[in-house]
Amino acid sequence: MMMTFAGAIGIFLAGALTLAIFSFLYKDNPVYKFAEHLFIGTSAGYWFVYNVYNVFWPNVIVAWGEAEGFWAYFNIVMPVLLGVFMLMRLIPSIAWISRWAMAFSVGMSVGFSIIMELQTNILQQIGATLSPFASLHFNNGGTAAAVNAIIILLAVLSALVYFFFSKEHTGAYGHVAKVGIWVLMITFGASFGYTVMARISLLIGRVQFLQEEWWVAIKHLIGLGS
Amino acid sequence: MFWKRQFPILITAFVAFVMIAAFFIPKPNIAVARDNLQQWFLIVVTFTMVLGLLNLLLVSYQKARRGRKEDRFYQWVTIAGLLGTIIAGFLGGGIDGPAFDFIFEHIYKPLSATIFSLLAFYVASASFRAFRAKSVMATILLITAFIVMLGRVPLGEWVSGWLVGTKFEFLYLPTITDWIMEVMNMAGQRAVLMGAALGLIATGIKIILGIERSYLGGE
Amino acid sequence: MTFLEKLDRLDRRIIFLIIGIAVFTPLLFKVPVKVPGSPIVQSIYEGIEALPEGSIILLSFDYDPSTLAELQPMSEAVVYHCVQKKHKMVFMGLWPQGPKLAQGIMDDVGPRNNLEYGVDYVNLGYKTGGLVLISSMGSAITDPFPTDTYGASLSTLPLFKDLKTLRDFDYVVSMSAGDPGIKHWVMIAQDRFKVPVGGGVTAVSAPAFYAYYNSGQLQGLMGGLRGAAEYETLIDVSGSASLGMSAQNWAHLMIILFIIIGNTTMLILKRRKEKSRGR
Repeated sequence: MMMTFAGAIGIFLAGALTLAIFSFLYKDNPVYKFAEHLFIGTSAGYWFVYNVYNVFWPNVIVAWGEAEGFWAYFNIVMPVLLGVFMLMRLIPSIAWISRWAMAFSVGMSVGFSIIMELQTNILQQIGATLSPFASLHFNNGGTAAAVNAIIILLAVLSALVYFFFSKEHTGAYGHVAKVGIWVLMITFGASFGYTVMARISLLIGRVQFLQEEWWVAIKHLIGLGS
Repeated sequence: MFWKRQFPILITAFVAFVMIAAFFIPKPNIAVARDNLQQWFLIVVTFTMVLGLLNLLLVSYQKARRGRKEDRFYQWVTIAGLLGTIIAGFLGGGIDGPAFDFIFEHIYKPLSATIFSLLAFYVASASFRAFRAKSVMATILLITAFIVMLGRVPLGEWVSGWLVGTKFEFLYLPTITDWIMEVMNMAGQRAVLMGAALGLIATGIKIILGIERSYLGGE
Repeated sequence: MTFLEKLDRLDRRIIFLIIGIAVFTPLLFKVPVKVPGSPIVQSIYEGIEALPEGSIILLSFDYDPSTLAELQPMSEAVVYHCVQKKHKMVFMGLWPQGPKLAQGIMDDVGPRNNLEYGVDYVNLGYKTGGLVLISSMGSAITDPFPTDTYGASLSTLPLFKDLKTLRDFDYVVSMSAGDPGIKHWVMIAQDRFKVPVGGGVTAVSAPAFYAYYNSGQLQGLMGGLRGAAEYETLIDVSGSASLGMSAQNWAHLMIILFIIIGNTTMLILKRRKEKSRGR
């Protein structure tokens, strides 16, 4: 890989910042704090710049230039006005105006999520739990699928029973809820296993960077590499 | 009072109603209203980001001026990072320009990736100190985690590979892991999904009816 | 203090060091580990493989650098696959960092494969809105995206000549680190507009998506680095995920040993305490 001097400096800086963050593992220190605050600042700056270039500019400024007719302008002015209302939150005396913008955003999110949650996470999930029973059979190699379908139905039901707190978990109902907890524990165990995998992967990514890019950049800078 | 309390609730109810109606009523007028409101939303949310940024700037500035003495310098670092990135974005050739690219590639990216990679060390530490089989439930959780952790790396294939071809093939760790993930885990996750969806729908209805209004803040 | 008591109160920095070595050392040897494709990864591969040449794939990069190590290898693998199959690619991001990460891949892959911007691929950029944005694309892509990320009007890009709404995509691939992300693509693109959706998620969130895979709402899923390594095996590429699997192997072994040692120490010390109380 050919590396320019500027590129090597950039990678060297990236590696130094990586080590600055890792220094926290020994103990909290000024170098870590510096890197952490730099991250917060650059992160917020990045969000802002991208929002301006990718949303505000094309969807407001360019759209305004191309707008024709009252409604086209109206559909630009109104959201900008609501957006400005949102910023009023910073001025305590008129902060209440921001509620209108907030109310609009919440209304949109609620309107969408009610329908989509119902369709995607309830109706489709119920359908998927029950549909295997339409063709359930225990012959010609169908046994495993049939057993799994039954296990899934029982496990989903028992976990849902556990979530239902309006009825006291006692007697037969309590036993079903107990099975529900077991199912959930297996689920959380699987999630835990995957979480370990995820966290280790992130570290692998950084070590790969240090070994494959940072080290090469250092060699380049001290005149040992290409 | 009406403009402060009732009007926002009316806005929420109206907007949510249009979104729900557009789903069920295939009338072009409602579809147009929905499409326009969708466009509005994208722009309004952008201002939310601006609000967050201004808030960060204000809080950092206040802390830099009047906060704990030993922390003041770091608040200036945040402000410098923020303004530096914005200046690079606007004066350094845009989001595709070399200055903004440099900050993204060599400052923001490594910092972001490394901060989250610290979690690897803490998950290791927690596995030594906190993950204890103190009850039947915790034991079930740990055993499942063990199997999944082994079954998802080549180690699982190596230690149980000899079972393949025998009558105990079903104990082959990757096979058990796949079964746990696709049957037991799937069922549990489905119940969680359905439970959470029911909760979200109930909260949504309460918001539309004006019963739940904590999102409007105090007063 | 006995050995076991010392072990029970082991300085966490020693644990940090051990896990650091367990990850660092195997990576020095750069040995790629080929992992066979599991059915859930195989199905997303087959979904893209089965599409005729020149199909249009929407690749949504819904993550930021914090999950780069897991999701970027997946993105690279899917892009390589699309290039192999000569599919057209449209990139976008529900997260603002996504388009920049997509650009990073295409800056390398594009010139190497003589891909022409605007004809073979386009980077739409980022928009706010998540669920609402996707729904808006269902009405007309130009509604939320009048321009691409660089400010060029979509009407000037040949790829968008016949590409008008979300329904015109043959496949949606979302690489997702959270909210907004693949869940919203399933909700709108799959459930409402019937465009097949597949993708990759961080290992943390992967277990939750098995429910969508089982119900057929999700065509296939890559979960974490392992998922990416499986995809690399399927397209016969040795990428960073396959190289990372050796370290993953040893780190898992260490974590398992930590849990065993931690629990054994706890049990023995508990027994001893009970015994001494009994006396």
